[in-house]
Amino acid sequence: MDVIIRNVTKGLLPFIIVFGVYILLHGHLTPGGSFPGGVIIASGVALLAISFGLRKAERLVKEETAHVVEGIVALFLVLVVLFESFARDMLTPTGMAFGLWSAQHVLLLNVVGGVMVSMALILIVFLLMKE
Amino acid sequence: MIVYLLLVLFAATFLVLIVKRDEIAIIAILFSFFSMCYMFMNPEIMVFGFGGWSPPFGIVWVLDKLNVFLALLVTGISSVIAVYSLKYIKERRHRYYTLLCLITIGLLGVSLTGDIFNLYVFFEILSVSSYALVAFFLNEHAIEGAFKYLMVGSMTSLFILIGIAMLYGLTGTLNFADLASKISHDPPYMVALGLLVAGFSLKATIVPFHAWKPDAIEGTPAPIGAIFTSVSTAIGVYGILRILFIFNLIQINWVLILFGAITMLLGALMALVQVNVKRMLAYSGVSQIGYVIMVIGFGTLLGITSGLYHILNNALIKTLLFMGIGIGIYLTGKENLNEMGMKNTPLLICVGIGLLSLSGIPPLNGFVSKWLIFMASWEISPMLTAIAIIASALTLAYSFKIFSAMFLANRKIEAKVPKILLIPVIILTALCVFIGVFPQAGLNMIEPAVNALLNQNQYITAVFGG
Amino acid sequence: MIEVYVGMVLIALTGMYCMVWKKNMIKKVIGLGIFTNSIHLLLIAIGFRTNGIPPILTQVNADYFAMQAVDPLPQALVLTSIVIQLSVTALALGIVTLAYRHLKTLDTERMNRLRG
Repeated sequence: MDVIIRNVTKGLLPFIIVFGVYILLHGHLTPGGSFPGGVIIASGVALLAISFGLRKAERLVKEETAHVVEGIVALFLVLVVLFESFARDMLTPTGMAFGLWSAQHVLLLNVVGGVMVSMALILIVFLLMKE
Repeated sequence: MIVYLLLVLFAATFLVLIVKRDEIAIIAILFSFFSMCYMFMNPEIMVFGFGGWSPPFGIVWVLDKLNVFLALLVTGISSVIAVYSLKYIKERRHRYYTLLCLITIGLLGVSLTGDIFNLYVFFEILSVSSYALVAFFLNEHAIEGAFKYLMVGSMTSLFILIGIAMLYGLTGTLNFADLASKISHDPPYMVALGLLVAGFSLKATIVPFHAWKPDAIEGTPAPIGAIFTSVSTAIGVYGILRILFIFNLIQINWVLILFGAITMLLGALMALVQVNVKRMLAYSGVSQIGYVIMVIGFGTLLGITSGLYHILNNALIKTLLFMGIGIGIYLTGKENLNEMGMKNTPLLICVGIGLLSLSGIPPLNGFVSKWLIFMASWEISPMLTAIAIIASALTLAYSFKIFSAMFLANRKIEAKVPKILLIPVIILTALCVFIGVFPQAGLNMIEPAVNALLNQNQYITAVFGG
Repeated sequence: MIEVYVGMVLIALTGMYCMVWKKNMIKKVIGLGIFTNSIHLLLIAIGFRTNGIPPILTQVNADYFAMQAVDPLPQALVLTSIVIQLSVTALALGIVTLAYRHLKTLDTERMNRLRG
């Protein structure tokens, strides 16, 4: 696409992904969590796909990788929920301000859900752009 | 315990895509059917709070008799369709089984939940996977049917969301039992009631909202057409029943009676002039739900019993008929009634029994529920009984049209039916005959469900006291 | 507060007008998005409290938090509903892409092959 958009994307993409990971990890302290974090990461990759074309974006995340990772992470989500239903008494999900490790399984669920959402949205963007 | 059932179905949804074996999905849906049978044996109301949170604060799934009856029906029909589709769907079968597992999760969630926003979430899971399955064969009929269904279906799901928002703003809670104790009959509550009933009556294909159904079922594969007319409409009617249960308004209601009568006649009349056999059965499904809505509008014990019995019988008969004509489409490759002649004796017996049962001929199950409907409507007004009998006569007319087009045509082809397509049809035919000869077996399942529906205090004390 | 509800009704009517009257399929999908967003506005406006604080618990406002904070439950409902809207819109755009590939048109007046 345009020269301006390409240069801006080249400079801005790592910050978008770091911002998405930040919103993912602090889901139990600030508004956000798995879904908005995943959407921001996926929209960074979508920006790359729109400005540089599909082949350059495929060098970052391949389509088959996204399929496989999404399936495996979904099964991992099943395991996390099973683990939480058995070990509910041992975990304390109350978060204290600025404490990243205060709510254990909420953090784990945020990371797992965020990976799943971002892979699903990357797949949707790639499949809609293919022709 | 219910969490494990949901996790098994969810895991099966993704395992089918990774490992690429379809039997995982069939095993998971059969497992859900057997666990629902096991829950059915338990005589008391079971309440499950998710994550250990107790009822007004957390999401709770309540298994009273009405919920378990519907969940049993839903998982039974889903498992039969899952076995049937092994041979019917020839390409992209892994995607099909993923979507079928998602539909089962949605249907199971709507029937078992006790929280109104959870109801909306699972209703949307059901709707979105239905839109995807209508567009499964990627030809032009499927695309047109899917787009029409998507536009209308998403608009009415949003009406349900407006109703939920209004109810939350008025009462401050989202739990069924808590809402039931806080709702009065002031005008703002009635607006929310109207929006919610309008939203659910799209799935239940009542007359102004039935227009998506023939186009969607013409585009979709025959087993998914079976799920739409038998189980999806049952869940729509269950949604209306549950909303009326919360508002404590299960009494005589002339709006429902009027719309039910119009639906009966319109469905039967439109089914007479069709040429495509799947459209004819879609309109037939619309007509049978008209019977159910009319007798629910009566609000009497006999009315609701006959309504629920007719939902059960409609599910069995419509699945049987869709699978039968699906075999016809699989063998001849055509859906037009003028070109579908076949010659095969087991299929003739099974589809014949299905069509006789649809029209209400004595030793079969359709007769039992239609007789109860006639008796229930005789108490309210003899004219409604006359309308119901006219609709039954029209049903017999188009049933004979289907039978003569399929088996008494001039040009017949003689073809061998694969065993795996014929076994579910035979199982359902045997069930139809069994319920027809021993109607008490059906009534044993339905009477506890009707008692649970008419008894609001038992539900509230079970959720909060236990 | 009544301005928010009137605004919600106007946006909902605009969304419904786009879904029903426009003939291009993409405009109908946009109308669906507008209608959904108006309902999210209604949900958040229901949980509003005058002079309320955001529902984030820190060590500064730990006492009387429940009496000062805006209701967080409708915000959770809206988050769920946004995810559902995302999946419906993605599916709708997938069907639109499919329709363009097979039928070569995006005009709904020309998609009338199913009759009766």
